[in-house]
Amino acid sequence: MSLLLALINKAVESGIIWKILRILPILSKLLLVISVALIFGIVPMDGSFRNTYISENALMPNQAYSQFRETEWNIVRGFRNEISSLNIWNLDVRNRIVRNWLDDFGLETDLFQTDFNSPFSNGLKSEVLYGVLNGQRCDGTEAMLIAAPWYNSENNYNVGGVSVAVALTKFFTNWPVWSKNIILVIPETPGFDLRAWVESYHKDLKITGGSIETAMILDYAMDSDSFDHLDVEYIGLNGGLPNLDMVNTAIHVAENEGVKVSINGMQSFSKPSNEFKNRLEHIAVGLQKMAFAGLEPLKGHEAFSGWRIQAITLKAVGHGGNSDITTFGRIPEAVTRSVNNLLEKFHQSFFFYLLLSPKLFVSIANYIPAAIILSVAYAAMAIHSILKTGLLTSNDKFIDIQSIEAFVMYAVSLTVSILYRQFVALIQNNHLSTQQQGKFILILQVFFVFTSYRVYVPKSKTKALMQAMAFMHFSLALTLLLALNFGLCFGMGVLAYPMVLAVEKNTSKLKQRMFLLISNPFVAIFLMYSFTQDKWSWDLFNIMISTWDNIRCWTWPVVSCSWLVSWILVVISCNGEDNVTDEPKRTKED
Amino acid sequence: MLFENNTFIVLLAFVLYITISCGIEDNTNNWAVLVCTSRFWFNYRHMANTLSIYHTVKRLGIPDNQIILMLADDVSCNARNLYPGSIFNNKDHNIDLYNFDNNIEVDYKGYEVTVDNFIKVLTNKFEYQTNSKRLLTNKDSNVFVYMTGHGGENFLKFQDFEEIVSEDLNMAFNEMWLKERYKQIFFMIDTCQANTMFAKFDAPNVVSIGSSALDESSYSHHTDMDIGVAVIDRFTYYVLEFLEENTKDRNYNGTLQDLYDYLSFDKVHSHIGYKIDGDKKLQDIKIMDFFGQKQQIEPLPVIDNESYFKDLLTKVNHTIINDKINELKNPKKIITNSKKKLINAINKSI
Repeated sequence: MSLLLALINKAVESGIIWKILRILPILSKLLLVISVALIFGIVPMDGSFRNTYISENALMPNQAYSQFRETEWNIVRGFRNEISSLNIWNLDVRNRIVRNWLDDFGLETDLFQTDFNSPFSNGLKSEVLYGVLNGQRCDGTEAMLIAAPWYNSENNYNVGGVSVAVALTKFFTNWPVWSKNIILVIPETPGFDLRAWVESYHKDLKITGGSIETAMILDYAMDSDSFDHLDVEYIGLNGGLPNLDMVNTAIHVAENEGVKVSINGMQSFSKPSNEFKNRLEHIAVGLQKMAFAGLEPLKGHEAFSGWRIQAITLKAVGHGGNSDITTFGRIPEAVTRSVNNLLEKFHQSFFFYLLLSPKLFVSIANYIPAAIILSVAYAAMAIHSILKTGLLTSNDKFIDIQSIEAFVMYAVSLTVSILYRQFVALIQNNHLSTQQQGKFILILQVFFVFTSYRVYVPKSKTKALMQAMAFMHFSLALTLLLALNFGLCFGMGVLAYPMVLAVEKNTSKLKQRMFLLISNPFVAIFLMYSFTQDKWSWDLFNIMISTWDNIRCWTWPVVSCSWLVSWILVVISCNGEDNVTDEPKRTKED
Repeated sequence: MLFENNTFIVLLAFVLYITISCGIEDNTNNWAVLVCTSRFWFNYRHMANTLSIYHTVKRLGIPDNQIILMLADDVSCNARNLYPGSIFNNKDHNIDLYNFDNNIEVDYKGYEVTVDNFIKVLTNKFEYQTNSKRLLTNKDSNVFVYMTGHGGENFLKFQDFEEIVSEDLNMAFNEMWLKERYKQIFFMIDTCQANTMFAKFDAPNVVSIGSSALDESSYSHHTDMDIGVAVIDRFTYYVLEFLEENTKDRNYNGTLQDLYDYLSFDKVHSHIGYKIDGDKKLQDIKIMDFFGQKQQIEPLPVIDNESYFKDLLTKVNHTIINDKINELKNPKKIITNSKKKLINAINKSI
């Protein structure tokens, strides 16, 4: 400690500290560049990533033969014909017919009725069919889950997925090796109704089978006998990822079956993963999926986030390829066999990682510095603004009317941000379509940016204080978020950075307003989201709020409680007049 | 004066004792302590290792009551076992280790397999324990100690909960020696970095063989794709193969050197090691000293035995038998050739 003190004293005496304080805005920009370079430059470089490996001894993937082969082929085809012809019927008819089959296999089955009353999902009513296969010799305290929604995330009839799931369940009933129960769930969609079932499972569901360890969602939405490759989706809500061992097991098993594997819908497979560009793309898409988890169409595995369930979605892509539909069944079979060997839980391995290809990963220690540096960049701006107030160097009283004004503004913007959801709900009641609502919110932001100076113009001290509070608030929010949801944290930090450019001196009014506009949370998220989805998604804000209401996706509250607060403060402060003298310089001359 | 006399007698007795006990070449009884230290389904092979050795030791003649078998888990009853009630050590499923001969006697099972219990077995420090669970050896016993599990440098894990370090084991062996609980110990260990376990042993008359050198792993031999686990370790597999091929009867004359040469790097995939006490060599120690059971037989001090038993067969006369038994109990003429008797005589005279 004394060494540190000595160092600080030396820094102050030699005047370095004053030099650093004067170049804080430049330093902040430099930190942003370093942070971005770290993620997109250093992390995909050779040496900073590792090959994935199975770290849990008990898993032993592929040590047992997968038997879901030729003998099951006709059974799968039979179920597929039946399920294919069920397409014309309503959900309740389909569910009842399949339920009869499951009863015949000896499963305990039930139907779960979902009923939403959120203003953002229009009283969605649905029915979820589920059945529990009690392992012959198991203690019934743990379960492995297989789910196959009737319609997948792209709203295609999941005929292959459901028939494989049903045939696989029938196949599982013949095996005496289960140490955990097996649960089969068939919801209408992989979205809110599956989530409602999971929530109910942990509260008051009629039939349960112990704590769910793993969940696999089967998505084979085509009539074809064979598929081209397997896509593994794993990024859950709120930055929650399944244990890396679970993803590894699925990829390992699939490659062992001779199936090409991609992750996150990237079409590049693990063989040509040596290219830098390839890894960079995987990082970018991974971060984007992490940041937008819950906003994009739900794949199914998101429904299990938050209960320590390792969930992945297995999606068959491409008509007619080298792998047939029983191969698709052998993958969940082998994963189930492997997870069956597990004792209690996934003990080791990683929960925070980025995958650079199906078989390469970076651990949290290698990429978290980027988010830390980013939050320091905002903290630097906060310190810069505090220096501008002159409170540290002059003998003025801290509490005067100007500083009280600043604190009141902070409280007001915090309140406004938190109540934004209610505000959006108000618009929602006015018989506008979701598209129109989204457009209305965006226009409101533009309106606020260009007219707020008519309402209130802060004095110079208030202005600096407001900026300090805005940046400090944002920096703290990023620090809180960085380990939990790295993608969202990093995305927010980068997208909000024009706020910092807007508060600089010598910026023209128009440029300043443009910076403020593009750093607006709604505008920035809307633009970014539309860019990644390749279409204008005007209903984004409705999705954000309804995912918060229905599946507890944090994106809305996080954005409105951190980014929006800071942004409102910065916009109002930018209305203020600049102080002519430079405070730190003057004190040094003293 | 009295003190001097006593010292002299004790000294004399000690010198006599040393000369006599060194004169005994063969052990009179064989014991085995077989320990599997790991639980859990994925350690199936450790149980299979231990049970395979158990059956081999029994085949070669050590009776069940002289084998202490410690199994930390019971995979045969595991829900994941495709063949309930069976354990196999080969994917050909030729031998069911659990139902072989319908005869298995596990002395310590499950959570009873602890470092504490293992040390207590070796040093016989139990307060209450049935005799069948004790290692009732004497100074003429040869003890075979086999251990398998997960280990590291200088330690072996017990049940993923505690571990035994090599110093513990060495102290236990030393204590056994001081208590005259063995004549020779053959210590065999199959674990990762096994050779570190006995590298610092200094207990006398202990021969050790381990499966792998420092920083080396011991590997499993093969996986049974039906059961879905590795069923046996390489080291144990080839030890068994050697014993199956060579020790067809108890007259096998091979030494530990033969076993050591057999377990080459090509087979085991790790460098096996050994440690032997003093100037002895592996060639000096016969394998059957540890595996072949020798009955405790002492010649009866009776003259003309054969004619006596012939008489006994022709006419059964209880009074004669009783007389004969009395005669046996209180022999009139002591044959002092027997070294045992000499020791007794000396002890009595002291």
